[in-house]
Amino acid sequence: MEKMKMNKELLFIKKNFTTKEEVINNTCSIAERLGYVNENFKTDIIKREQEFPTGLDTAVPIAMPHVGTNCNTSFMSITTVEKPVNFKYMDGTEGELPVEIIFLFGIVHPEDQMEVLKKLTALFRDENRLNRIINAQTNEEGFETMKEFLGDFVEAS
Amino acid sequence: MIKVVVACGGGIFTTSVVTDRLEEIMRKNKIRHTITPHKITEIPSITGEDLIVVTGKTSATNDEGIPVMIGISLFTGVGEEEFTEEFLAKVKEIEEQKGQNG
Repeated sequence: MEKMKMNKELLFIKKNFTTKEEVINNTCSIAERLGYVNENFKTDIIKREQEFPTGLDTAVPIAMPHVGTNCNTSFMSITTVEKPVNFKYMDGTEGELPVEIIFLFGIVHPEDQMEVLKKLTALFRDENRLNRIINAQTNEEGFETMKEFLGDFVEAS
Repeated sequence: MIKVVVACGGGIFTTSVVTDRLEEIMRKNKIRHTITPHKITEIPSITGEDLIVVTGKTSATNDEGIPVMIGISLFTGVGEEEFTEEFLAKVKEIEEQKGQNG
């Protein structure tokens, strides 16, 4: 089974981004450099976010931009920001949702990734764990925390 | 037999998770069912199904009048119990209607 890749270079902790576009551009350009996605992935993510936004008003608000197109390998990335950036609500609630954690990922074969997706869903429901990610001060700390949560289902490098 | 459609924006992640949760709910309540994945954009043209559960934002309605429910709470866990109750009530209503029709 293909594991979801989680590369240290795709962990962005306590960044000073001010818009969701900055977050998406930053992550997608590194993912492209790593060969995880091609140049059209970013466009797909942005388009998806416009048509079907991914801001979730969970215990700790998050956003999870993701698509399965123009993506060579399934991967996970995490961005945390010093000041919240606005995303639109996934459920169509009017207005903007300020989020502090952005999980941006690509899933090539969702049926192969069910276990890690379940882990991820459990993480989204877990206020304590999400707070631990927000509170991580360094890439190292964020990486270890995510590895602990997602376990053997990711290929960490 | 209840025929449920699960639809999300991308047709991948949330659909998989919500399908899993609905399977569990219907198994627990001994409801015979099928679940088919679709994309939100396909909602208007879906035919021959009983109920559509979407996991993203939509104001779309189905051309045949198949009811559309927003089931994002099955993904986030926020409001999950309320949704489950509403879902089961809707399923019951549909089963009764089907019974009456033969």
